[in-house]
Amino acid sequence: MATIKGKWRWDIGAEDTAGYFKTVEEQVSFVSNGEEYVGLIKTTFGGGLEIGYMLNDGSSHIFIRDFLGGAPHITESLRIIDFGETEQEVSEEFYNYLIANAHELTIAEKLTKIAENEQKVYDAGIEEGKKSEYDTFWDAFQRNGGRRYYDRAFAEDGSNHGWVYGTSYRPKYPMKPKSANLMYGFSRLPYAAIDPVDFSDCINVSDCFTYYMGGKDLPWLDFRKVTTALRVFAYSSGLEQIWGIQVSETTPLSGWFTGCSGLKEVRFNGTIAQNNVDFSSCTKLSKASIMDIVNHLSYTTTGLKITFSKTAVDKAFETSEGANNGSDSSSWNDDYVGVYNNWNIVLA
Amino acid sequence: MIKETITRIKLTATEGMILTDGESYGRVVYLASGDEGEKWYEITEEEYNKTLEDNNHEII
Repeated sequence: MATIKGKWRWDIGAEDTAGYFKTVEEQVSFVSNGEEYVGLIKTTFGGGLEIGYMLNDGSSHIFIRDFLGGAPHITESLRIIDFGETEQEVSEEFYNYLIANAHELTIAEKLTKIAENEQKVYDAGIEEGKKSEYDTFWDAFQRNGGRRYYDRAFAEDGSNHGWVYGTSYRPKYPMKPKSANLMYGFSRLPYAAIDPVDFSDCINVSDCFTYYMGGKDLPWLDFRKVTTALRVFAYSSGLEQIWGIQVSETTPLSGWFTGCSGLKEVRFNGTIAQNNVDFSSCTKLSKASIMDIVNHLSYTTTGLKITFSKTAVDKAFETSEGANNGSDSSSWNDDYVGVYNNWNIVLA
Repeated sequence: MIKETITRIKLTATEGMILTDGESYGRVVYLASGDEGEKWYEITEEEYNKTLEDNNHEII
């Protein structure tokens, strides 16, 4: 066993490509970005890496996810981890991984970080004299941090886009909505604006990202408690990748992806067990995404339907480059159609 | 150990037609085990395209 304490900083692109699927959990208490965590979970698979910080309720926040062949997704606000001043026992494996991929903050770095935190409100673009205006607006808009109903909060109106990340859009308080109906509808706010929003308590995300125009990516979205969810990403034709969606068996998925013609990658966590899951608009959906979706379907529920684009399946499972015959392939029919026979599978 | 052979019915739309059960639309339907497919019927592609137009809506 080894011991650890103090503040550490992950080095950029911490990589551990074990080449095989392996999950390591370490029970250790630490604080990152103001949140208390009870452990760290590291998963490596086929050249990919994911590091998550475990919360007391069993959920986790992702620091780094890098398994889709593109640039890794890193939540910068979680780069610093503070194990506190009391030494904690950790495994040798975890300690060796930490010292190989992170470094303890020096006194100079700690002082710099303190100064940065004190100056946060005075970031470039906010003049000294306007601090009170910033506080006045956001204290009211977010009810001094107590706002939970963010319905239409940052929705736009057709071609008028008033919320601009870094200038007009600078929320003062963390956002953990209970209701997020049309919260970012027609929005052009980028990934960095959405990533800090905690949806884990949210029950209504209908139209939350409908006609989303903020970029190609959306971050990890925790929809485990959602009970009302119509057209969540509908008509977001520029959306290519949703890093992850946490669902539960009661999360309704009807109409989520209507018009998502550009969607290539999506990953799920949890069990999909509600009717009319429709990916018919997603003609570019990758094989990895189709496999992930099917592998998260409930084994036990009956009479439910899921629809895929036949174009996507024919391309994803094609037997040779350009054959576009995937829906006739044994891989598709034996490994997926033949296994999940409690679901009606429609190819549109 | 129990070994079973599970039969799954596959419906394929005729050329120029689309399968529907009134909710979902597709060219191929793999019915869940035990489902005989009574709910499914064919419509023309024109009827399908009209349905898509009717279902497009404005967010209020």
